[in-house]
Amino acid sequence: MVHALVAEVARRAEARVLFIKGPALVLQGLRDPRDSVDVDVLVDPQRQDELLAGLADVGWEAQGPFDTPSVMARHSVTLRHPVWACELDVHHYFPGFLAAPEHVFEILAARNCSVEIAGRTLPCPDPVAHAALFALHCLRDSREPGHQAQLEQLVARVQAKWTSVDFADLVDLSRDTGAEMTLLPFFEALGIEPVANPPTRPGFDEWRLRSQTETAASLNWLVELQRTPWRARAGVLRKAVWPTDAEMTRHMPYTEGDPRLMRRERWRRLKRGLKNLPRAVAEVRDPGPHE
Amino acid sequence: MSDPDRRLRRAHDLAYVESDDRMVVLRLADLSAPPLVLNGAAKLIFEHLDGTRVLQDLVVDIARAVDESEVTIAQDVARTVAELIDLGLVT
Repeated sequence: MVHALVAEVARRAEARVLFIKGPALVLQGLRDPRDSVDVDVLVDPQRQDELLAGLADVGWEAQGPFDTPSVMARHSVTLRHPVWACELDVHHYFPGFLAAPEHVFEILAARNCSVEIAGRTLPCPDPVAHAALFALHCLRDSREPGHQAQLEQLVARVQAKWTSVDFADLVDLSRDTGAEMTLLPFFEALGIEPVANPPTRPGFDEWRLRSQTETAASLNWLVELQRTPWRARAGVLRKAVWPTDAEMTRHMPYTEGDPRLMRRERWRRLKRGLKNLPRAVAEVRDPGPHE
Repeated sequence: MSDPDRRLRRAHDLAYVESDDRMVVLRLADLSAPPLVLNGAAKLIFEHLDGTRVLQDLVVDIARAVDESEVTIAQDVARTVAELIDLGLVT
């Protein structure tokens, strides 16, 4: 239902959108049916502000502020509504497509097709592009067992249905969207020939660091420290080690108004971070398995 | 509902999701309004509003579906249809 609502808001805001993942993926036969918690939409990056403003007008509130570091730039805004029991993720680009977001959106929009959701005909990427996008979603956290299983399922579904034309189309799409390297594990799993001599793409190092590592939080803070000028590092370190009451409340709302619980959670968080630190350091030096 | 020959159809600007016992309907013309939940007779009637039936056809089909006489349900169906029209769900 929220899909239809977003489509209507987007129409009024003159913002082109594509519905991604969730029921669209299921209807295209690329994923098993399951209860979707979130609604995901990819918006023309040049009209994201207009879409967000339109959604705000009908009660959708952006969650944040996002003050924790991340290896890769933020790719979406999460919205909540007091009436609707789901989150809405508005993506202005999709991680792993390393070409310019506007360019990628144009390519995906040009290949769009539609699905029937809530009695409405709604736009989504065509099956080849949607499979590439979902593979990137799985590969972004490729060390997580859940995502590994989803990728295996996607590979099996694609192999059962696609023709050589589709596989060639997938490789072409990866070239057009800057996903030649990020989709490499997907190509390998499908047993297809990847793009020969792909160019070096800005953002690939961050992708590799994010997709092939496990210690997300500690790693994010380490990378943030590296990126921060010396003079500002003390502030980042303080936030990483001992967040303020306001920061704790934002990230662990259940600790609000309970100083003892907040202190205990701070210590737990710090212990967890220190335990993961050696592995995070190793991952920064060399992304990949660190058993 | 003054015109008995009016063919009843769902409004074109609706989104709806159906489950076994209810139908949740959203009017896209008014996105600030919460979705409406139709169940029981209202859901059944809404399902039959495909633009092919006038009110009397609807009474006949609903009577058959719920195994009641047309006389018994006619008033309820007419009242429910009028409410659905007032809610902007039926044209």
